[in-house]
Amino acid sequence: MPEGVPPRDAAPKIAIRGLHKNFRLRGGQTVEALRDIELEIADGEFVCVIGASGCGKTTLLRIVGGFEQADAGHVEIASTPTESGLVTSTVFQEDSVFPWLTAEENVGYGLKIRKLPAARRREVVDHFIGKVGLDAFRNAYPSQLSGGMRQRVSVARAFANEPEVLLMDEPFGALDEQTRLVLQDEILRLWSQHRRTVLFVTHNLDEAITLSDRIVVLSARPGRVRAVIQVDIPRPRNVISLRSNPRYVELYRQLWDLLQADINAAPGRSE
Amino acid sequence: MTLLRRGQLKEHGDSRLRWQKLLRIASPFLLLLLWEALSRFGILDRRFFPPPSEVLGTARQMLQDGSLAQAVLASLRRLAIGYVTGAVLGIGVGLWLGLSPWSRALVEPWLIVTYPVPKLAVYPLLVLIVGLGEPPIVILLAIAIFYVVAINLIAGVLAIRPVILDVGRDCGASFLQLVRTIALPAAMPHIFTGLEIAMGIAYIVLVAAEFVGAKSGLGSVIWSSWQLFDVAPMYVAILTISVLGYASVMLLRLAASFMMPWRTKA
Repeated sequence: MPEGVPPRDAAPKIAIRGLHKNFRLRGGQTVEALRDIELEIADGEFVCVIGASGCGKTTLLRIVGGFEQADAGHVEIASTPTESGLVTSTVFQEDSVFPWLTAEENVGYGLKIRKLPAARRREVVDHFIGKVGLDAFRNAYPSQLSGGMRQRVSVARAFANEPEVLLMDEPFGALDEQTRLVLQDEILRLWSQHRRTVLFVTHNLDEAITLSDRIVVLSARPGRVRAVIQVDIPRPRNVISLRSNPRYVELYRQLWDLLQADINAAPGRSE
Repeated sequence: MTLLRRGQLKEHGDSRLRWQKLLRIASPFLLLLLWEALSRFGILDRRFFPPPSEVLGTARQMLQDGSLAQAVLASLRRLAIGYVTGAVLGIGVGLWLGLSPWSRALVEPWLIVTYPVPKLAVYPLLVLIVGLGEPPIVILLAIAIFYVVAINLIAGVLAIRPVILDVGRDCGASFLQLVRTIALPAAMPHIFTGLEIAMGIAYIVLVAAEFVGAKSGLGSVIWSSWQLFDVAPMYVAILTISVLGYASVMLLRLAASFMMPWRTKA
């Protein structure tokens, strides 16, 4: 598959149509989390969603992942069933590895649940545990791993599920900057080899520009699509040298201007 | 001007710790020694507090004539049947209620309302229903253990972080797969906490039930030695119970470290 922007004329992989989501608080009030989200994502496209904190990014991803229901509108995923049978698989922001399984058992968990033959399971687990650089730690329990290693396990688990769509909810949000850069680099390599549709939520502008084909900017609560920015920086990208690319600097500026309006307006428009 | 020297290893600090450790081991024997002396010099009434040496003699005699082994076997048999039954039911109900909000809404209030009832108060009722002998004792044990294990496990399942269950759903796990591959291992520490607390309660309930409802077992030995005004066997039985209790808890902890290898490797 050629690097760069996927064709846009094809039918979308994911179509988000008129999505509304409200949350009911304890006192009976409702808070509008998402309003009228319209979005199409092409097959094999890498899309990041950014926005001020509390703008509903995670809610959007959880609705696509099937963890929550919308109050209006829906999400359509054009699925061609694969061997693994999974349409989506998620990397969560929180520490989500199972403490009672070793690194490789965690990676192979989804395959075991879906009763893939042992040989095939072994093959997939070996592949992805190597890809995230955990060969030497495959038999270690999570308590013996660092936070960065545990998140690698989560990433490998989601890839091993071989889903048609990968959902990532601020997967590196809790990690230090060095580890974050290394893992971004790994994600880019994994994605270039195992081309999947990716919906990636982050609050980090660098991360969004580094990884995406397109960036969806959500406005502050209620989350609406404020802008969709094409990241026209050629791939393969290098997470470090990218930062001195003039186009990168322009995009950063553009995103910052879009977000800044919300951040400045936020205190005045609290419900 | 004075020169301060810091950080140098102090030799005696090390040996002090060693002596404290030794004292800790010797301490129970010192207590026995004190008891022996007080009893021999008549400061303690021998009729109620026979010297440990005399208790030891009785213990040897009870070992030789087989009466101790018989009592231990009778008690352990009741304990094993009651404990295992209660634990299995408690684990099943605990997992079920922990994972199903509807069942929890219906059944948990029953547990909460009946939990504070002293389990021994049910014994006469059990005798009415199933008659005298082994059944009421074993059932009483099972009831006592069931509550502790179930209530601990419900709390354990509810304490599972939602994201952990989300991962299961994300990987396509069915409800039964969630129970077996996530809820059970995630709540395992709570299961063992419940089992350990239940073990202490089990011995209390067992001995009390044997006081009134059995002609064999350690509780019955204690009760009959009161009636015969022969306190030495009473001490032997009490000592045996404490040793058995200690051994049971150690066995449970061994099982726990075997069942949860991820907790011992840090």
